[in-house]
Amino acid sequence: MFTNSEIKIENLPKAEAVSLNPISKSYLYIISINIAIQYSVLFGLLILAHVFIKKEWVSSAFYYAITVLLLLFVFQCVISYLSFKKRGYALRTQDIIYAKGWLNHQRTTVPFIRIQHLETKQSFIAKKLKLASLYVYTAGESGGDLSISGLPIDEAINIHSLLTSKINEHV
Amino acid sequence: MNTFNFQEPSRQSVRGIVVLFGLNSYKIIKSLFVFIAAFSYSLIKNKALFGVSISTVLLLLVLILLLVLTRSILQYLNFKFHVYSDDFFLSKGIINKENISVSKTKIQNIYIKQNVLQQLIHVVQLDIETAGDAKAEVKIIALSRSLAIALKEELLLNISNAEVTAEFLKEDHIYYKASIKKLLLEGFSQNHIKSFLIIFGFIGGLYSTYENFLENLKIGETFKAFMIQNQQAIGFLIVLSVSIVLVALFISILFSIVNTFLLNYNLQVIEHKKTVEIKKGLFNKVAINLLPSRIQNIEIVTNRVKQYFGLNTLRIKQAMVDKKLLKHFSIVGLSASQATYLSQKFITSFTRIQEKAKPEKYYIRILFLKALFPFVFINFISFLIFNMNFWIVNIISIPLLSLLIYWRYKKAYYSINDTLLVVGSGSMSTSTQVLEIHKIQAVATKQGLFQKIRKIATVQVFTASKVTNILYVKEDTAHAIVNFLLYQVESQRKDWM
Repeated sequence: MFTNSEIKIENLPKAEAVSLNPISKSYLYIISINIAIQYSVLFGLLILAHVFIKKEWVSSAFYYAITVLLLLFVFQCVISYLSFKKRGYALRTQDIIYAKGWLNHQRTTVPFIRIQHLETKQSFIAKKLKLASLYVYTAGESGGDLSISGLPIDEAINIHSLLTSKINEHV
Repeated sequence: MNTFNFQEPSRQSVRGIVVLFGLNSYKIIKSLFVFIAAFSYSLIKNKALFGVSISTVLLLLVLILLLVLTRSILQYLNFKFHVYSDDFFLSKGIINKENISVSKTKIQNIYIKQNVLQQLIHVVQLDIETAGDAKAEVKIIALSRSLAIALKEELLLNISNAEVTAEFLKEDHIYYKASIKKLLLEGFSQNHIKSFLIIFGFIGGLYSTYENFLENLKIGETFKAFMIQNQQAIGFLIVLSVSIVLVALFISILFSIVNTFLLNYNLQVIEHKKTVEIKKGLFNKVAINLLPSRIQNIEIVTNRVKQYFGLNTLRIKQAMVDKKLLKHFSIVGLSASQATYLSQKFITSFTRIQEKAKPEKYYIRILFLKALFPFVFINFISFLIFNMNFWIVNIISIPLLSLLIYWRYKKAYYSINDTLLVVGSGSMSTSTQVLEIHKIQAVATKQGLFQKIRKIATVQVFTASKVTNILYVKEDTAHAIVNFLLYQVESQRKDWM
């Protein structure tokens, strides 16, 4: 039967009230390793420059550069840790929610009926830590895709198969 | 109603060899342009090339042309297409064979195009595009016009979308035709800063290529001496910069007009029962058939000058359209009522919105912060030219930037009803973005740290063609918008294309 009653916005299910599941703590290792690689390259370059370029301005600028880089390093570590705590996902009966970012917090919701395809990926380190990333793609290139990193592999597979069944339900 | 048989695999028009030959030669010349330029230079200068005489070079050239011709003929012979039940089939390739099949229901666009060469030999190009790839999947480069139109109708006819089926029984009816006067006015009222930047980039590119040559001319030094002579007179400097600006403005306006004219020459909007066709172009002619179900967003753009002349541009956005063709997805020179009428053709429930909700005042603060960058930049440039008198420029820049900010805030609004989301924006120009709620792919809220403290957030609405931002609304409102949009998408369960 066709009905057309008024929609009360305050009675709609609240996406913001859903509490998010945190991602695996082991993902912090991956974040730390990434940062460590980035900064060891940068520090390495600076030190190489200091050792091999024997010019006055290089050695006088060296300590400033090291200090700035150190500050950046600390800053990046703090931000990454705080952002890590903000990462989280949740499944509802009709959609999937993913939130990330501390400086710039973004919370994206993709309805199941709009999912085009799914992908689970594992990097080398993630494999060692039994983690995986789940990618949820929507149509087009406007950027409404989700990538949930740092899921325990079992959970990633579970969500993947759950979403697959949800998509097929619709078709 | 159509006399052509598409069931049998068939080749394109024999004249396709000419087009293929042209395209292949163009590709070779383009990729070897630097070499050719260098060779011909040394050839003219020394009457010989690496000890090879001109006649041998000519012989080589003929050989290359013959090779290109052979390749073109083989390409032509190996290119066959046919339509069988609900699919379009294409096989092509000389050595590497390629078979492509496109389901009629998945076709997003069919273009009929004509470049200068194709116009000369009276053939048209037909491109078929789905939403799957950023490039057109099928390109048939030489068909007679009647065959192309018949093929297009054949492909569109059985689309299971019932909305199109009765389409071609109705006579074509030209709804709108852009007059030359309108096109000139349209070009005149373009954003000339954009044209200026294009020209500036072009000249910059030329300059870096011919830097050495220009240095020989010693223009720079003459200019410097000239500047030193007149350094004392600030008045002179102002006159000089004003005249430079005027010349730049004039060239930019000319460029805008010519560009608009070439692109939109003989612009026609032809109305079928459910689809709308756009035809335009002088050197490159295009015809695009637009199916409402494939349209993700539309945008109506105008500015103060255009409003005065009664000009509106309607931009149509689909999923994954070839970047090169994107510029054709617009109809210029429409009156406000024509723009509304066509918008209703594309989005049936389209209405001019009465109820507008504004972003929070916080937006103004953000705009002022953002304006700091151009402000500092302008002052820096001014410092390089006027030295200590650099602040003069702020007599113009501060009121101008403030005015732009005022406009931007004034023009920003959003409006949501059961089927539509409308977002207004723009500073110099006025833009109205419209999308149907059932075409939304995903929804997000975005919040910076300081916005979190102030309980303000931005809502991002993703469709398959673009993201639309509802800027800086109260956190509660943002959540309500997200919940409402999700509810509509998830409860209606309508297809997005």
